[in-house]
Order: sequence, then C-alpha cells, then structure tokens
Amino acid sequence: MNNNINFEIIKTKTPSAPSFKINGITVHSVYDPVSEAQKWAAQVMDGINSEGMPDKIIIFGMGAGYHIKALADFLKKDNKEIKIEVVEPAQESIEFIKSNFDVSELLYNINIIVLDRIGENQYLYAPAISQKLELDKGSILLCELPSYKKIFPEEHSLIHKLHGINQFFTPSSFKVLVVQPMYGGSSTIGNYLYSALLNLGYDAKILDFSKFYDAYKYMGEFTCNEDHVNSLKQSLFNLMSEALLSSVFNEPPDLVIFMAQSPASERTLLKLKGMGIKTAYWFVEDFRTLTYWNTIVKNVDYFFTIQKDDFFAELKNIGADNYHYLPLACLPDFHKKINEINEEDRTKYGSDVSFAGAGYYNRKNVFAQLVDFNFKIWGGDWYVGLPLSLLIQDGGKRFTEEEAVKIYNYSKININLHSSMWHWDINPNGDFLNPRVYEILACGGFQLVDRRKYMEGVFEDGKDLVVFDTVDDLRKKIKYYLANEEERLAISTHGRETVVKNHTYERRVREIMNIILLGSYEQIKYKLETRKENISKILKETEGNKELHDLIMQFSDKKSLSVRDIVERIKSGKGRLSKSEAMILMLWAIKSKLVKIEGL
Amino acid sequence: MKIFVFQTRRIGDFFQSIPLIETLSQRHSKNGDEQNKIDILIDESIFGIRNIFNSKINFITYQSLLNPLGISFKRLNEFDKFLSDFTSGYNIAVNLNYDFANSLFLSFFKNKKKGFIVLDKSNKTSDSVSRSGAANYLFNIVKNRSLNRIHITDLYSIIGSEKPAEIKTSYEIISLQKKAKSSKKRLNGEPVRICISIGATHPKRIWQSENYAKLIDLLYLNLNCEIIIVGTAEESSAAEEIKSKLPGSVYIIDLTGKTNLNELIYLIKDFDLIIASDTGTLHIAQIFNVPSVSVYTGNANFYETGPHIENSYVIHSAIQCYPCMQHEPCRYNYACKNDINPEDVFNLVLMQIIKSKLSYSFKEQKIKLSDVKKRVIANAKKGNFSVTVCKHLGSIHFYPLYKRKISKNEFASEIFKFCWINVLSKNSVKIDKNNVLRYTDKYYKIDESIVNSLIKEISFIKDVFENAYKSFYEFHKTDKKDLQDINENDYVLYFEKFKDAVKSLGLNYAYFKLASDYFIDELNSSGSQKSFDDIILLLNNAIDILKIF
Repeated sequence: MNNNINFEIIKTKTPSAPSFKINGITVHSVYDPVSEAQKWAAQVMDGINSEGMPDKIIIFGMGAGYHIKALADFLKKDNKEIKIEVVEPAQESIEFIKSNFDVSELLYNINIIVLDRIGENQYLYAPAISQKLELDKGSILLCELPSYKKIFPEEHSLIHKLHGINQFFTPSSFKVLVVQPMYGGSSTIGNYLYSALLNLGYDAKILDFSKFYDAYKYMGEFTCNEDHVNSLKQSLFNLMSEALLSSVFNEPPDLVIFMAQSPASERTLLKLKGMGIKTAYWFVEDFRTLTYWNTIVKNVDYFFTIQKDDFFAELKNIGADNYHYLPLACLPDFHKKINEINEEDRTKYGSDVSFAGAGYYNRKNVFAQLVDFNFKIWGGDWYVGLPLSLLIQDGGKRFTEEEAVKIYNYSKININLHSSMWHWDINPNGDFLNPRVYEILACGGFQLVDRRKYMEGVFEDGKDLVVFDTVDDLRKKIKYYLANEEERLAISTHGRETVVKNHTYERRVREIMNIILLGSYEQIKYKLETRKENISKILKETEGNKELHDLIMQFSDKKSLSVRDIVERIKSGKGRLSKSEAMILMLWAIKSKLVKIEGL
Repeated sequence: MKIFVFQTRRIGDFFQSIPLIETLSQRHSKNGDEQNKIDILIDESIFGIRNIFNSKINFITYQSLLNPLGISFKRLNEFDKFLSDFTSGYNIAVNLNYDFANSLFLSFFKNKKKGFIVLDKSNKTSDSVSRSGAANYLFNIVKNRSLNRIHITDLYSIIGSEKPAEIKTSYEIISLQKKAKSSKKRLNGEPVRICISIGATHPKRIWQSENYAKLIDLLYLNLNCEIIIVGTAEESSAAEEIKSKLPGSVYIIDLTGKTNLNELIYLIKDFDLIIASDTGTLHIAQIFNVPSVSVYTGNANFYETGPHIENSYVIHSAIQCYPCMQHEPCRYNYACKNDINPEDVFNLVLMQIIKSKLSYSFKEQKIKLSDVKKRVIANAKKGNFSVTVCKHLGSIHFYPLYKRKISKNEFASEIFKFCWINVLSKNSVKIDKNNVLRYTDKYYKIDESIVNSLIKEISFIKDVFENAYKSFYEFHKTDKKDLQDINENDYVLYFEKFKDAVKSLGLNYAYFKLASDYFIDELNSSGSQKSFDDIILLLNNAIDILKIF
C-alpha cells in the first residue's frame, strides 16, 4: 500500500547529486550516488553481455534517475540500442521526483509506467500491468533499484512474478484437468471452461462423470429407506473420487479445477495436495442454497465464487483466505449470433417472448402473469396446471445447449428471471448473475432481466440489456420493446459487444491462471523449470563448469533430462559426493522445502 | 568471529537453542566479553522473531537466500559461485537439525563444521546424513525415547559448544526485556497473570478441553488472577470449547489466533506463570524465566523437551507406554491424558505460586507449600501419574517430587545420563560423583541387587567392546599395508559382524540400546577409533559411578 508515503531530500557527500528518502529509506547512496549508479549499470551490462541482448529493459524504480542515466550512457557507448522502460510504484513518488530532480531529459527518452496502490489487490491489477508493460512480448531484462525493493516490496514482488511468469510459463506446458459433476448447470459451465482452456492453448483434459448419473438415480430403486439411499449415493461419490484419483495417478496434471457438485472428497483433495497438484474449485452455486462449500474451501488451494460480500464474510468467518470472485461468462465460439436464418428453426424456437430454464417456484408465479403474450417456455421441472402448461415447449423436456443458442437467437425478447425457492416472484436482494445473462447477450439476443446487485458496473440497463423490478414493470417493458424493434436491436448489439469484450470464459481462464500463478508462483515455477530439458541445450549451458558438465555427460544417451533425473542418479550411487552433486542435491532439497512438495 | 547456525525447526526448538546461541555469541577477549557475529538460518514461518534480538544476531531464511535463483541447469553455475562466496566467510558452522538440505549446505562451509552433515551418496537419508557425537546421540534418541535423559537444550549446546547449556535468567542476545515487577502493585492486590497454552504440534500432546475448563474454574475460584489463553488460529475452536464448558461467572481472555509470533513473545515474557503442554509457548516462556507447570502426554518426553527453568513442575502419566513411540492413534484410549486430573495440576500451580512468591494472589486463607505437596504426593500414590521437578546440576535434570523406587532400566538410564554428558562433551564436563550420589539417593530408592546386577552386566558389555577393539587393532595393524588391495572386504566384513553383535547387546540389555545404536552410527561416520573410545569411556564411567552406591 502506498498510503501515507513520505519523502525527504538528503544531501550527499557529492553536492551535485542529492539523494532522497522514501518512508525513511534512503534511495541512493549518501556518499556518491553517481558512482553507485555506475556500478549498478556496469552490473546490468555484465548481465546483458553474458545473457545476450534483451529486446527491452524494465527498471523498477525511477529514483533520482542516476542509475538510468548511467545505464543509458553505457548502452550508448557500446552502441546497443535497447528500449528502456521504468516502473515507478506510486503516483506520489513520481511527482516528488519530477518536482525535485532534473529528470526532464530522461523522461523525454524513456517510457514511465506508474503503478498506483496495487498493493490493495494485486490480482485485480496484475493483468493490466502485464498488458501495459507488454511482458509477453520479446525478451525482457528486469532490473531494480535496490532501495525500491525495500520501499515497495509488494509492487516489486508483483512485477518480479509477472515478469517471471512470462519467462517460464506457456499454456501448452501446463496440464489442467477439469472435473465435472454428474449433472446440472455447473457441468455445462465446466464444458465451456474446458473449451476456453483449449482455445488458449492449455494442455487441458476433462473428466466427465455424467455416465454415473443413471446409477445415481437408480439408487432409489433398491430401498425406500432414505438413510440407505444416501449411504449408497455416498459410496457412489467415493467411487467417483477414486476414479478421479486413478486418472490423476495415470497422468498427473498441474492443476485440477473442480466444478461445483463434482466429486471433491477430502481424501481426494488431500491426496492431490500431497502430490503437489494445485486444486481450484469453482462454486457456481448460490452459497445460501448449497452449503457444502465450508468443507471444500478448507481443502482446496483456490476457491472461486460467483458471489462476494455476504459470502466472503462467511468464508472469512471460517478462517478461509483462499477465495476469489469469478463471475460467469460466455463462450463466443459457441454462443453466436445466427446470421443465416433457418426458417424451420425460427418456426420452432422463435416467439415474441421466451424463457429457457427450469421451473422454479418464483418463475411459475411470474410467468403465470404473462400467458397473454406469444410466450414460449423451454426446459424441465414445469409441473404446473393450465394455462401456463400451454406455453411449455417439447413437453417440458430439457433443452440442449445448441437449442438454447437457437432460442436466444430467434426470440424477440428473452426473459431472464433468476430462480428463487423462497420468493413469490422477484428476489429483491438477488446478487449474482446466472449464465443466461451472458449467453443471451453473446447470442445477440435481447434480454429482459430481473434486477441483480452485481449487474452494476458490468452491464448497463437500457444499453446492454433491460432490467425489470416488478411483474408490472416486466409486462410494460415487454410491450414497449415488442413495439420498438430498432431500439431492441440496438440494445442487443451493444450488449453483445460488451459481453464478448469483457465476459468470456477465455477471460475467466486468464483471471483464474493469473491468481494461481501469482499465488503459487514458486511451486509452479519450480515444477515447470524442473521439467525435462533438451540434453544438448543443457550440455551447452554447463560448458563453463567442467564437473557439472561431466556429470550431465553421463546422461548423454538420453534426449532430455530434468534436475530430478540427476538427483535420483546421484542418490542411487555410492561413495563421496562431488561438489556439483552436493550442490544439485542441496538445491533440490531446498526448493522442495520451499515449495513444500517434498518427494515430488 | 563469524558463526553460522542452522536451526530450521519449529519455534520451540529455536528457543531451546537460545542458550547455545548466547554461548556462541560471546567471545572472551582481553578487553572483556565481546560478541561474535552470528547468522542463523531459520524457518520462514518464524522470521518475525528477528526483531527481539540484538544486532549481532542476523536471521536468514532459505527463501531470502535462494529467491533470486531458479533451479534450471543454467542457474547451477551461478549457484556454485554463490555457495562458494557465501560459505567462505564463516569461521564456524553448526547444523542442529537432522535435515537433508541443511546437512548438504553444511558440507560447503570451509572452516569448522559441527552437527549433521552430508558427505556421501545414498538413497536413504539416514545413511547419507552423517552425524557424530552429540548429533548422533540426538538422532538416536528419536527411536530410543524412553532411554534418553538429556535435555534437548543441553544437546544443542553440546553439538555447538561441546558443553551443556548455560541456563540464565536473561540472555544478552535478546533485546526484549521483561518488565520489572512492582511490589507496590502486589500490595495493591493486582491479579497474577496466568497464561494457558493449550496447543501442541501433535494431537497426543493436547490435554482435554474439559480438564482445562475445570482447572480454570479452580484457578478462578481460589486465586485473584487474570487467565489468558494463547495459541494459533487453529486452536481457537479448542479455546471456544473450553470457554463453553466454563461457568458463566468465570472470565478468561482468549487470545488464540489474535497474536502474531512477536506479539505472543511480548506477552509471554511478562506472565507470572504459564500452564502448558509441550508447546513453543512454553519454551519461549522458559527463556524469559516465566515459572511453569506443564502437562506432558503422548510423545512429549519431559526429559528431552521439558521446561528447563530450575524447579519447574511437570505432571505426566505413570503408564508404561509413556513417552509414546507410536505414530498412529493410541490403542489405550489416550490413557496418558486421562491419568492427569485438573485438581492435581491446580495443586502444582499453587506450589509454583508459593515458590515464585506470588502467594499474595490467594483469595482466602494462607496455603502452606508442605500441605499442598502432601496432597499431590498422596494423589500421585493413589493415581497413575507422577510429578517431576527440573533441577540444575551443571546440566538439566528431572527428579521425582518425592523419593520413589526406581527400576533397573530407569536407574541405568539415570546413570548413563551423567556418563553421556561426559562422553559427548569430549570429557570437558567431568562427572561429579558426589553430586550423582547425593541426588540419586535423595530422589530414588535403589535396590542393592539392581546396582550389583548392573555392574556385572555393564562390565560384561565393556569386555565385549574392549576385546573387539583389541582384536580389530591387531587385525588392522597386521594387514595395514595391504588393506586397500587385499583385505578391504575382510575389514568391512569384520565390522558388519561386530555391528550385528552390538545390535544383539542392545536387544538383550534394553538400557544399552541407545548406546548400541549410537556406536553403529558412530562407526559409519567417525570410524572405529572414536566409536570404541566413546563406548568404552561411557561404560567405564557407568561402572565407576555404580561402584559408589
């Protein structure tokens, strides 16, 4: 946090080069800041000469600019043209520097990026910083003004990690397993998430448990004793957990993402943790309706929710600190606007007004008041009497996701009423947005949706979609927008643009990975760095160290090699350890200790 | 002089190493005492404690050492240079932990190295981590817990400075000082501040919440006191449970999960008394000279990790299986916990309060130490628990509260304790036979037949070792010049056979098991000469002591 930041100019033994303090820490040497800067720049140059020319140098900390000037001079002298960018961690500090030091020439030649107050929530700011600094483009050398590391530790750590992630992380080398439930809405979301992972190039797999659903339903056939049925269902759940573990043992992923209701038993989660596999759980349910989250959250590394506020307070109450808000989204590849009209489909799926979803208590009450419209209701669980039953399509069968896309496309107005088991009609305190909000918009459908707390700042009423507060209000708006087609189309077009820009599952994957990579930086870095590398590359890299090189040569018959391979070979040997052998074992042991995945 | 100390275990172990660090920090110069510079490698989780130490003590974590380095092959060259530069600056390095990473790290130090070290390759960590002397002893007490009577504080000190710990009431290396007690406040009837530390790292070491609740109720009824429960956030639910079992009139301050380590230390130092199981909190309190009554159950062995301030009371079960060696849940329904009643702990608190001159806190009539002690002794005789008191005889010792019978194995361990300190300190701590006799006689009823039997048996064991060594020496001398070419296998075979014989001795004479394990490991790390010398010295010492009874 950069709150209460204070500055103080200090004289140095070199009168022409003053220094200053930030929060009591001296930024430059109090003896000779210029010679200190030259030493620093010389070290950076050594790095460049040994590691090769980067495309860009990012310097963390502007200070009074002595070090930047020294580096620029060295680069000029060596005829090296490298772009320099400076990251200044606080708005207050850059303003102080500008008004107290002559940095105008520097500012003209270099690009300065100011990060302000990122300490409050690094996960929120991280993507924007990565983008601003273009950390994914070309080779970047990150160096820092040493004092800034102490003054701005959170900002420094974030930049260091973001830079590191771009160096060692590629989606294709990261294995993700999405674990589905047997049935329900979260399995659809799981499918979308999986598609998004594949679209982004992750080495993703999905575990489908839908085949167990018939068995799950069948349990009730054996006995009427509810306790026995529950016990049988628990046994089935345990079986699914074991099946999941078998799959993981067969091909260990780096990350397992559990969708809500999936078989995430405590034993499974602990086993995965023991194997050094990161676990995430996306609880795409209402925390007030399904309450099993309290047993899950303690055993997973990352717990994602579609609710915050009250839910976060509950999570905090039970001592959890691993939760993150992750709203739902759309999959633009799938939730598309249909441009070529199919008349048959239009006849079947088209109507003035439609609703696609299950028949919850409040929906039945609301929709009973809309029977005078050309209204089609799609989906199951609509056990109602006349006249609403006349509106139910396909005999109340569940619709497929493909059908949903057609319904959203061919309906003039798509109603989206969030379900409630406790409210007569509209839940006045509803918070999260259901998947339908995003999916209708992505299909270019016009949406009339009940007011939700988390709509604010995400979608604009009257611009992206239209919000209703009461049944009367809904009726009025249906009539109005049926009569005003142009306005309806303008809103649905804008809504589509908004959702595709900001609320896709690809974006959610990036958000998830951003949190996981920053939160488990060391463990993931360690894992990916210790994956097998090409043997000829390793031999080349170790040329300067004969003992180490000779050690690697023992593996020259292999194509690739990991540090772990060498560790195992050393341990299985006999006799005294050489210096290089001891060093490798030690580094491995320390790293294992640090990432707490001993024996991985 | 620059010294590097490895102490990467938990907070309790760290504080039990403080006397050693204090000793290492002091260098005697012509101008008086002068401090050495000490760098301590500690676990990241306790890094915050650096603030309570003076500037001569510097704290390092693996995180801070290695954060800039990755583990790629390319980085190995950098690491090589880093290691070389880093380790060359130290005159002495001491590794107190049986830990693979630490032991490998120690091998890189250039000058004097002490403690656990890795020199050879092996698939088994126990084979590759080499240890000698006190480190070897420390390693072997894990599997011979009931035979050990040397405190870990002494062992750490012997590993690092070749002498038992110098226990002080305050340590120079710690800049945080206790608040001076005001007698005026006592006269004004200020309550005594009693800390209860409920947690411990192992569930077997945690006393039941209903017992704590009953104890608190007794304290509250009888003393003008302020009761503060401390612990981590994980212990908050246990604290809640205790509170739920207390009568409404009893008020306690629950600080579980509300303090960080530094805040906890800051609080602990000024408590008047601590009641604890074998927790880090108890060991911190010892360093700040806070009187204690502690409850030792399960695998918490008071001889090894008990409170080290003189006259600290420990209550523990007298059941055969204590201290526990099993890692699995208890087969005897945690009898060692059930044997300890809150009333008896309360009586010990009364005794400690009187001894610590805190009697002004008694709510009613004057309570006499002798009366309470009698009550405790009577209950101990009826029940299945014992009370032990910490005593200082150049090293840390524990004796029963009242004179009781001692079994043969116990007596042997009691005698060996003095002998081990002599051996492990490389004879720098001499055995004061008068002290041994006085204390052992004062606290134990010793059957003459036990003494005679032990003299006979230990003499026999000593003969085995002396004869083996003589024959080995002859063998070694005869074939010395050809040893490498021809007789290396014979040499190895000889020792393998002898190791089997030593193992048998350990099995047949249970009290000798720790020594036999020690010998076998010593042979692997330090070679034959030292191994034989140590054991023969140990046995000779034991016979000498036994002869005075």
